[in-house]
Amino acid sequence: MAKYADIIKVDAPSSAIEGATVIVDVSVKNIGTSDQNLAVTAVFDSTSFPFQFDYLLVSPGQTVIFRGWFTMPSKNVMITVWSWYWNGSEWVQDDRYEKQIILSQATSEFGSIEIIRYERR
Amino acid sequence: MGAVYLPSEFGIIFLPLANVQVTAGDKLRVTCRYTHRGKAESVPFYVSIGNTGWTGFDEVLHASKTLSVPEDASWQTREDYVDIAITTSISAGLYDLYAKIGGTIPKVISPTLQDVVEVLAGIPDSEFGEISITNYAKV
Repeated sequence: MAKYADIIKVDAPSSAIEGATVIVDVSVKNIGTSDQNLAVTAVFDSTSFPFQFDYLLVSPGQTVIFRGWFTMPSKNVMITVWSWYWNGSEWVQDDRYEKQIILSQATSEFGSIEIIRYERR
Repeated sequence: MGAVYLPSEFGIIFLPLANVQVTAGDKLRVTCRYTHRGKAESVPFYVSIGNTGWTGFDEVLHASKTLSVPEDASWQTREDYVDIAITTSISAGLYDLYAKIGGTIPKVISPTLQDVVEVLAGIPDSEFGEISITNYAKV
């Protein structure tokens, strides 16, 4: 359960082709009662990827979207997103979210065909 | 009786296949099983009746339709069919059957099923050959 930076939604495709830019939109809500500096970090597998904002000052009850992106590798990946808040002296990890992104094929391929029935109509 | 030869660890298996009898005006529904993976695509699905010869397959009748496959992350097996209209342009006899997916350059071609379609001669049109008087009497 988050203390301040509640990850309420992560918008990312469920599949992507190799080399595609995968956009990850993380919606974070300040569930505290005062303004908070909130931040998001994330990795795909164990590789970190950047976000548009390092951090944002968020009002109580306000939801902000952090947009991150990475290049899809040649395999399925698990993305892990963390939210953070500033306690006045350091960043504190708050919430966590995981989502898998499947590698989709860039080409279409047929393996075989066989006639299984033939009937007069 | 048609047949298909299948390789196996014991050599070649001879698998007899029943043939289907059709006449002009019928439709022959040919159902195929195929495998696909990758992105979604629409491709021609083609089935032909003809004869296998030393120069290849001599097509007599054929039919096709567009096959639309969804994106498949891994190999998926699906079935679909094509109906071939049997017309008077095919004469009576035994014929072979094959199917393919793809256009001019096929992506996959099925094994040919030999002698599985028997086209029967249709009932001829009404015709009178001759007439002669066989009797005459006062009535």
